[in-house]
Amino acid sequence: MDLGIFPRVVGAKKFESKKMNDRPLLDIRNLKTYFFLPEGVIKAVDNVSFHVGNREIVGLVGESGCGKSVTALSILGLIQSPPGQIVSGEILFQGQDLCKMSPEQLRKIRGNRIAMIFQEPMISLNPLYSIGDQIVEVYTEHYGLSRQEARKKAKEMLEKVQIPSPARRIYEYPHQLSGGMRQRAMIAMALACKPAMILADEPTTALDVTIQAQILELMVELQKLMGTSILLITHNLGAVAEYAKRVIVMYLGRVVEEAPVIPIFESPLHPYTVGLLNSIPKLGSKAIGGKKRLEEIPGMVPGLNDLPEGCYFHPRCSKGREICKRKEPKLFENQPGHRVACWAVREGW
Amino acid sequence: MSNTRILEEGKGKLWRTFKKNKTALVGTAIIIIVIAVAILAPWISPHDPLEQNMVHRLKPPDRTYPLGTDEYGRDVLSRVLWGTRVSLSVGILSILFGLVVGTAMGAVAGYKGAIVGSIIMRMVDVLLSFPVLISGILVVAILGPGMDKLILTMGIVFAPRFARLAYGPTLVVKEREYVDSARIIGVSNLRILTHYLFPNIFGGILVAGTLWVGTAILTEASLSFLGLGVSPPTPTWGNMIKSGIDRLTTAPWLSIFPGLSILTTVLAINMIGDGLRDITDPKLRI
Amino acid sequence: MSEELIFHGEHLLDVQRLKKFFPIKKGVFRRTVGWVQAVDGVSLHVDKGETLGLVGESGCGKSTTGKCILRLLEPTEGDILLEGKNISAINPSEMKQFRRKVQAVFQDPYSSLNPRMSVGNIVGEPFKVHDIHPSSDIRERVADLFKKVGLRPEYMSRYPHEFSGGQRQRIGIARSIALRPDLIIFDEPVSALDVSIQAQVINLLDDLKQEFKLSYLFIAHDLSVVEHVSDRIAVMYLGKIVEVAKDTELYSNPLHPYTRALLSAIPIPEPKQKKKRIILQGEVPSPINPPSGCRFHPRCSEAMKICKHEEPIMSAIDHHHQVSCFLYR
Repeated sequence: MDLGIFPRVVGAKKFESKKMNDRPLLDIRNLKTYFFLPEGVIKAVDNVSFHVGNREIVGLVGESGCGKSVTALSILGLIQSPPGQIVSGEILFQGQDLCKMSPEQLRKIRGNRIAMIFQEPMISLNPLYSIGDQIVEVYTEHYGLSRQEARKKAKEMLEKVQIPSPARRIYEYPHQLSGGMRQRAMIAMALACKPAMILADEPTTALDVTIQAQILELMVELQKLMGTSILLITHNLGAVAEYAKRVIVMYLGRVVEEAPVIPIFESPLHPYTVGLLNSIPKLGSKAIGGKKRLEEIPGMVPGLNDLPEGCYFHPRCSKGREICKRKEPKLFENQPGHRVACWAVREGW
Repeated sequence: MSNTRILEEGKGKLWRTFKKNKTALVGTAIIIIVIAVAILAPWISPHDPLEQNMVHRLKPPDRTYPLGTDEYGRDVLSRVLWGTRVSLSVGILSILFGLVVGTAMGAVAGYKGAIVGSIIMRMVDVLLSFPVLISGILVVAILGPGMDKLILTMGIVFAPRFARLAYGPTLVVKEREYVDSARIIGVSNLRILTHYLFPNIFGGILVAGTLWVGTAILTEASLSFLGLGVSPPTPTWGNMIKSGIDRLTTAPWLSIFPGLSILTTVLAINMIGDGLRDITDPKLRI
Repeated sequence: MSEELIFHGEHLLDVQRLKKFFPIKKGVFRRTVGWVQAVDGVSLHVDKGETLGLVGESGCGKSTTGKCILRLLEPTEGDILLEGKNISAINPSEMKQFRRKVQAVFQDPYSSLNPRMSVGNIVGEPFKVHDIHPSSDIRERVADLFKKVGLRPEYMSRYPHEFSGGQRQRIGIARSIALRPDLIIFDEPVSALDVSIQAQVINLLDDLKQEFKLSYLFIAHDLSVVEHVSDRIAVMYLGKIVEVAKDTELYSNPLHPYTRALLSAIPIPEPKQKKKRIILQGEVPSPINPPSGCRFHPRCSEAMKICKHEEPIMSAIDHHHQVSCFLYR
């Protein structure tokens, strides 16, 4: 087993609102990931900072183009270069800056200390190998187990993710499994090397509602069991509300709000978060209050190559004033643990 | 705003997009020259392409005969220039004919599916199992020789190839929701074919079509050589290569120059095809 | 098979015992070796001015039902009546009339518009096909439609790829209302859209329904969206409708165990409200070889002996609540 990636002794560092000995597992600071295209520079992730603590489930939410997936790819060092590039910032994982690592070092961390689960498991599973073989490979590669032992372990892992009759499934190929089963196999593979962190990018979006529930429950159950942290990247606000402890809301490459889950849903501050929450129909609300019109956020998400000045949300914001058009609001801590980037909140209008 | 204005605007856009594609522009320039040569052949040829001169047979290129002479002492340059007429018209017209007929067959087969589709495609498969030349011979044997017949023949030979090419994409496109949407509006099958299927499968077919122009020019040569196409004294690039091929080592100019003509023409048409694909796709228009 | 749906005169759309089986063909001779029983005896109706929601998970046959109603697929069995007229056996001219009355909007805003047609022509296509307006008028009518769905008429000469998902869906909606239909069938109209855009489209659908006195059949998998837009909701499972109820009734008093599981599976954006979740075991069985008896019994926590052998029938609990389950017999 490779121990080289465990943290070296790092000098004492100060973290805002964090105790020194409680260093976050993943700490992203001022991350900028740009794409340099002939049409111009696309700032997919623009000065993003957040952290994920040990054993914490953090939800990263936002609509298409908000940069949530690019953030995940940046963490994994999987940004296609060119045209993409991490322009500046640090991604500290267990104290080490992933941005400064060689591809070889990154490869060791990826899939070992940081595992990933994608929306469509079909593209991340190799169609030419049985799922058993793929999990076995994790054990033989990362732990140096013999094939026999690895096979036994793989079977155990499939049992853990509640795949029925694992002894048989181990010989099946990805295309023979249903979407839900594939996602389970994916989770088994991700967890096989006991990662410290799982990046789950829309892990249930392609699945049916009842299967979604199964998979999310399973992930959380295993997270508790194995002490893993999860960065849950999704547009599904319901899933975040139920499973995440803390929520980060992104809009067009910037973090606009960050808070523990209850304040985010009960007293959201940023007009975008407010709008997002009000625009989803809530199950059962009709039974209580009759049919109401959904509140909508006017306009549409602008393209990343066509961004407005100042606050990116101002053209769609009802609270926008002159300053919003000119100056970008910085994140500030409104209440302990509740950060927001909005002039209206800051100035209290 | 009137419909016509939009249409004109659209045309301007097409031309702009095409113009932007430098490759296509060069291709167009070359083809214009080739066509000009075909038209002007009687005036720009230094000699009569049919005039035999046994004294000067098999002369390498020199001042009087810039591209040399053939085994009957005919001027190769003049023959190449005159040959442009036959080769170009046979190549392009036969492919056009094959493209229209074949694409229609493939698209109808793909769209209709079931029995009609199977019958058409089985027929196509049978026709495809003959090499181009063999089916060419068969068709010519039925229709008889002559340039118009030759074009018709080659059109018939290439039609099943286009049908095959159109069939696959049609199967894909007909499953798209916009085809369903069209049916729901009540669009007729014919209009679905012409306005929904064709425009969406045409790009690839066009590019393949331009590639096959070369094959067509060469097939014409083979058929002519066998006496089934254009009869010998009339120069075509194809029969020039054919007759020169035996003397490739001793008199290479006999086949090299008509060969280069074919190469240039095919390349130019290909370059145009590239640009045409761009303008048929609104996504690539500027 | 019997059904005891309450019948008050003539429905706008009346689907009776609809079945759609797809053959599975194998071998050189394309022999039929089995059937996918995609829709197996579905009966439903939509009244004038009503929105009927049809929910279910992937493979339950909800989209196939929609396609049969739209005559994109030939039903294997069963009748589809529009204003009392059976549309299974209509001649081409009646078909054209039918096309004017029933329209549809599909899920994928990226594939439901012909990429080689300008959006103005796409929306104007129904007029052209049905020869309704002289071609000089069409542009004006299309411009009107654009305004109705919240698009700028200046965009008419652009092509679909120049629009965002939400805008494309608006274009599809504009096309669907062009002929002033009576019924519009929506198949997952908002599930491909971003959350903030979903609300805009849902509100637009509400407005259009009011303005043009439309009736909707709203097919979707997202129960919260379906509940919001529908007056009544039918829940489908593996080719059959298991429960039909008024929108609020279905939420407050779900009867079928599947409906209950479905409702409880939906995560709600209220972190304090940790609800008891019914996690369904296993996955939806294949419609090629559906379970005997009640199709839900292998996954049902309340399955009884009878469920395995006998097929439950739809029975009315009250005026607007029917369920197909032995628990309520």
